[in-house]
Amino acid sequence: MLKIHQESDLTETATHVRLIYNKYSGMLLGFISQIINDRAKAEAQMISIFCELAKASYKERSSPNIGSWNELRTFALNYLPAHTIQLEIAADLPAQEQLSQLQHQVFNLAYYQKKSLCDIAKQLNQTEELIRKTLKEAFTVMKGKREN
Amino acid sequence: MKIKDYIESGILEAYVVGSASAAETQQLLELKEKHPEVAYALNELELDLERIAAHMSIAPPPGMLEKIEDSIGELIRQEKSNRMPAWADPSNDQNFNGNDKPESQFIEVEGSSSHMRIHKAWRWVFAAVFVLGKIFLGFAIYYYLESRQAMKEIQKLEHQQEVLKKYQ
Repeated sequence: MLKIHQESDLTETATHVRLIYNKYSGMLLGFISQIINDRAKAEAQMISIFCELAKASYKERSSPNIGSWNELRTFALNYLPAHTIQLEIAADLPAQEQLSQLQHQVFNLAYYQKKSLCDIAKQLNQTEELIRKTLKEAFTVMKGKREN
Repeated sequence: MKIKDYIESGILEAYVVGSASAAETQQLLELKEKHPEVAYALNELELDLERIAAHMSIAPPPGMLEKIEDSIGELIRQEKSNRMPAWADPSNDQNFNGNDKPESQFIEVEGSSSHMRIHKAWRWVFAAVFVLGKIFLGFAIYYYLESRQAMKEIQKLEHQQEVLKKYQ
C-alpha cells in the first residue's frame, strides 16, 4: 500500500513539474538570465529551482501553491543564491525601453531582487512615497507599451 | 478611504512584486476580501507581470526538461533510499550476494495475534459440514435404537423358544 502511495506521489510530482515547465520555463529562464549574467549558470539555476519545486511537492505530499507566474517568480527568488544576483540589470530590455532611469531602477530592484519599498527608498535616497508612485508609473508605462 | 484612490496609490503594485510591508500587506488582504475591485485590480496586475515576463522570455535549450527530470529522478531515488532501511535498498548490491546475508536480514513473520482470518467462502463449507454432521448423528441414533430394539426382540424370541422346549 505504501509503495502504491509513493508511486502515485512520484507521478503527481513529475506531472506537476512538467506542467509548470511547459507553461513558464521560457519566462523563468528569461527572468534568471536578467539576474545572473551568465547563460550556463542561469540554466543550471533553473534546473536547481525545478528540483527544489519537485522536492517541496514530493516532501509535503502536496504541490507548493504555484498557479501563476508571479508565484513561481517568488519561489525562484527564494532559491537563487544571493551572491549570483547582479545589482545592475541590463537596461536594454525590450519591455523597459520607455522607462525613465528612476522607474527602471525601482522596477528592477523590486521585481528582480524583491526589495522592500523602504529598502529601495534608502538605496536610491528617495522617499518611500515617491518610490511607490514610481513603481506604479513603471507598470503603467510597460503596460501602455505592450498595448501599443 | 476611497477604494479608487487606494488602488491608484501604488500599494497594489508593491504587493504584487513582493515589496509591500507587512502592515500594507495585511491591510490589502482585508480590503481585497471586502472590495471585489481590489481583487480584480490585483488579478490584472498579476496578468501584467506575466505578460512582461513573456515579453522577456528565453526559450530553454533542447534537452532541458530531460535534465530536470533526471535531476528530480535522482533526488527521488535518494529520498526513497533514505526512507527504507539499508538492507532493503535494491541499489545496495551487497544485499544480493546470497551467502553474505547477515542474520539481521531475516524478518520475523510470526504474528502476535491469536486470531486467524479466513475467506468468507469458507462459511458455507462450515455450514454444510455442520448440517451433515447433524444428519449423520440422527441416523446413528436411529440405527442404534433400531439395533437395540432388534436385540431385545431376539432375546425375547429366544426366551420364548426355551420356554416352549421345556413344556415339550
